[in-house]
Amino acid sequence: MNAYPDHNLFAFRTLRPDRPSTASIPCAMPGQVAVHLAVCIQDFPLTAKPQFAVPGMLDRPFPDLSNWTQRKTALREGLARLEDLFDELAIPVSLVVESEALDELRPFERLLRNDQHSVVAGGAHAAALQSAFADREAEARAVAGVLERLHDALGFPVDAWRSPSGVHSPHTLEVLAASGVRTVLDLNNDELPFVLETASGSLLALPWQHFSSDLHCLHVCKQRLEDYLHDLTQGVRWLKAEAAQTETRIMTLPIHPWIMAAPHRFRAFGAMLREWSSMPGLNFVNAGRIVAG
Amino acid sequence: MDWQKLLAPWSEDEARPLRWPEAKTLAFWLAPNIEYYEMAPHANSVRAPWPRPFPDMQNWSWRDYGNRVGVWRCLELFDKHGLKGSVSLNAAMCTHLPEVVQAFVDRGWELFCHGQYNTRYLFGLTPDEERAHIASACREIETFSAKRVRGFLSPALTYNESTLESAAACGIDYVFDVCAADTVVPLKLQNSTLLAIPYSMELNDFFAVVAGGLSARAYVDRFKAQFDQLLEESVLQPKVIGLPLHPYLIGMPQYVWALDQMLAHVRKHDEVWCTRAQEIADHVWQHAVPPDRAGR
Repeated sequence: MNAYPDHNLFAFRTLRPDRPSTASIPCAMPGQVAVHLAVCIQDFPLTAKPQFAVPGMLDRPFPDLSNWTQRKTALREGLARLEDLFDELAIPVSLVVESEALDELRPFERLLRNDQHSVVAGGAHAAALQSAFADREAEARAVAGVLERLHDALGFPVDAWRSPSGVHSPHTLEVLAASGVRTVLDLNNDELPFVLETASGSLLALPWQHFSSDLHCLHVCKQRLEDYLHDLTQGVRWLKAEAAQTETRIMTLPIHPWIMAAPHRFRAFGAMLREWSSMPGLNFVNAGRIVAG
Repeated sequence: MDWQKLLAPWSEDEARPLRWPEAKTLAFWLAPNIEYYEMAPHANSVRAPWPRPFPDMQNWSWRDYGNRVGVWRCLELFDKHGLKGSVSLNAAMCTHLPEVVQAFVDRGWELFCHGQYNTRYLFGLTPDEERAHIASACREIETFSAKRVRGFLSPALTYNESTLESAAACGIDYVFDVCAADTVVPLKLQNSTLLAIPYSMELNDFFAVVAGGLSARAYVDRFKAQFDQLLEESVLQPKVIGLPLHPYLIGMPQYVWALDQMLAHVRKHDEVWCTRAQEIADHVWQHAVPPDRAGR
């Protein structure tokens, strides 16, 4: 019987080379552990209400001035701190960009056009959930609009996609494949890429890990920063040991500048990345490098 | 169900004569939840299976991680520490992902019934439907393992008034749904008795980390504090500590090291009986439940 009785998007496989159930996609990236830092650059419209509550949304009565402006630190000093850090450490990252944020990202053109980094389309804005579109055609128009806007602003096409809050409609994967998207970062079920089959064509699923993100661990679960960073470093060490016995592992770390680039968190975050960048057998990657590998 | 009579009042005298085998004082057992989640499950009148509209790709794919990645990390640690316990098994795993179940069978783990799918709840079932659900799940597991299923934990902790009676009617003799004690407690049903074996909800990784917001480091601290307290108390009265786990969570790199530390902590203590739930039940049935309370 089919491992997945209610869909045929992809086959089951285990992350165990001694008992593979399907061939895994070769992931020939340097080093044992590839850390994929995904910086989520979001726009939070003051008036927008998502279809249902998602983590990080403005949650006070209109106008939620304090949260709305706090989120904007991600498009100002927060992102500047991160850009300086990435430059200092020369680490490539993925920039997951919501298209409505572009108008406020003009000071960051150098960051967005830096070919060390990959740009991933992050939808229109944080409340523009894929499940809220009236039908497949409306969703397709919205996706096309986001991709077009990013292309116009950046001067190059973007073919990787991360849905706002990872929310899907029944048509999302099909719509993405039909829209020219090649890579999707919405699934949390693996640590290596695999192929998804839709009625409109194939997509490459790159591992995402929402439940390792600062949004989940710090904002939702209210973990202490030092514990969160400690746990992540333990995780990287674990993967290094595991990868040495098996094959490359990817640790995807989504971060949100309005959280992690807050001054009281940023110092410790920077220290952690400096430690990681000096670890033998650990490399930083982005979506483009994973795909190329 | 007469809820007032379900649990006998707590009494030191009744429990005192019990000792675990080889004069051990604290029984420890592992309870990994090996679960199957449907992306498009049947609707339930009481509870929605997913918090987001269909398809809830974020939450569904995370559960899938457990069977693709997390469980294999857990198995390596269980092997490393020489431990085997009791699998809280959704029977559908035997059909859809048998290689996962086989890995536990090959290692001599007990399999107990955790319903059919973790997305099919007992809420709202009639007693006949409920018995059919439990019986079917037990049968599927027994066919796979060639061993009788004796233990039960309701899928997604969902209940009706009839659930415990239904479990007993299906041949179950111990359950993990009752959280009243850190010792084994007899449950008096209408015509039978079940044993309630501590599942230790406070140590359930999902409740501690996801619902409770603990970091991995804090989870280790909680486990050690609970373990050390019960170890101290167990000198006077034998205790049980279970460790309920979900591979989609504890198998993630930033949490799996915590499991390694917790298991190492257990293994440092010779006075701990590392066992399976069925051995705990067997010992209690044989040595501690008065014949007039057994009703078996």
